[in-house]
Amino acid sequence: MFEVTIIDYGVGNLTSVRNAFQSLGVRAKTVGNTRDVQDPDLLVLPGVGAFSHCMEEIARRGFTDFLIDYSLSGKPILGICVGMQVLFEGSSEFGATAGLGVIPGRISRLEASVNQTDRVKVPHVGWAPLVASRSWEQTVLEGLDSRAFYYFVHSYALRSTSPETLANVSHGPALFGGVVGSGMTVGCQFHPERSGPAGLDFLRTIVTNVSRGER
Amino acid sequence: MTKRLIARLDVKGSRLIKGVSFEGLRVLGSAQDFAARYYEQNIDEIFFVDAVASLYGRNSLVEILSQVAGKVFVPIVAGGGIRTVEDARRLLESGADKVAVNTAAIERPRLISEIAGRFGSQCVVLSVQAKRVSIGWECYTEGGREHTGVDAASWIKRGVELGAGESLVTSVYRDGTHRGLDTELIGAVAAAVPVPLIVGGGVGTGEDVVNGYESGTDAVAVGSAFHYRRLSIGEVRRTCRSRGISLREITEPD
Repeated sequence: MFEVTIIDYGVGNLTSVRNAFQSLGVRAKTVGNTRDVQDPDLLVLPGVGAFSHCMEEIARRGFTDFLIDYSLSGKPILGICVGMQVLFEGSSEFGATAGLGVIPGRISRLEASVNQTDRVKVPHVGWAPLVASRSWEQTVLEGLDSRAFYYFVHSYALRSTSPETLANVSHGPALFGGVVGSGMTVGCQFHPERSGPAGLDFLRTIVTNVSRGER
Repeated sequence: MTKRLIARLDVKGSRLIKGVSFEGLRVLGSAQDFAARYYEQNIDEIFFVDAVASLYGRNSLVEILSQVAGKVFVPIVAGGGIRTVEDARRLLESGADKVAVNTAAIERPRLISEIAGRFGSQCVVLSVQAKRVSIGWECYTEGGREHTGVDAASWIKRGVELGAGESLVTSVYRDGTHRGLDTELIGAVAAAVPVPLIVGGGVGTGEDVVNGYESGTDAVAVGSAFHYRRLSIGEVRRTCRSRGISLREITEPD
């Protein structure tokens, strides 16, 4: 049976992430230290709130180097929301904070704007579709329904284009990174565990493609 | 930007209840069953309010949140009687994604920054029960019974400065009446709210929801019209689509 291990570093709603995987018939457990990560098929890094707080808690529980090595060794990791953001080199949230740096790029604040028909607010809260920035064939997104909408809640994002970007998302006139993937290290800015059937389908797709990649 | 449609469930114990203008509360059934049904009908978000928590000094949503955790995979807001960071933590750990504060935040505004500081602004929804008064819109607490002398728009502005990431504004007079959202109230607060605004109180038809979006709200909360099956989630979606308002598209996974 496919096994998911979710990192509990005191940040984020682990229960809903675990429940979402379990609803797919996947075994999912949460762990609070590196010793308990026992060769799962997929390691999940959740995260909500402030980037700097997440990085501090990751460090305090001894996960910083572990996660960097884990990603570099090519084992599958999925970062969700701020758990995706910390995979990058850093963020401008509250000054500048360094991230894990396993994917090139920096996280910065979304911009509010007003045009004739719409007011673009920050935080960005709501449902949005992905815009594929390249073909998803042979990537972890292969087979994903490209029309689906996902739930976002965030004020910061990957606003620069990255070769690792698999899909972007519109925020008013601007785009930000919705899904990034570098080898088996994947991140999504939205909350698949809170995106209804489409979100569960996203997780199912990742699980399927990760299993295929390992075969 | 896609608009959101939210089901609001007022709860007492494990039961869904509903009144008119927060009074004459009737028991309608099992809150978790209603929540699961709205999820299956593709609601965007679920907003639970423990309607008596403030009165009893405790919030009893923990059990309902645990019950729906394996069935509902959209964002869940939990509110009612939240007085401390610890109250918020219990609800978030039980499966809520956000907490809504009202009474205790008006009494002690720092509560907003305390919860936002610990869990992030995206977790804090400032809930406001508004009544029309001669000089504008006033905030009420305790299900619209206690007046506060606080102006709704200025309070939301302050709440956002303190760290609220969204605001829910409910018209006390329209609540449960199916007479339509109070678009004057939306007009009075929309410009003042830089964060996403949810408006509730009075929805009876799909047109009412459209009027809310066209008046400047980002999300509409619907309670009794859904509970009494006067209106379905699918009907709201169809009305919005025909009026050119974009909600989340529902696609069937292959």
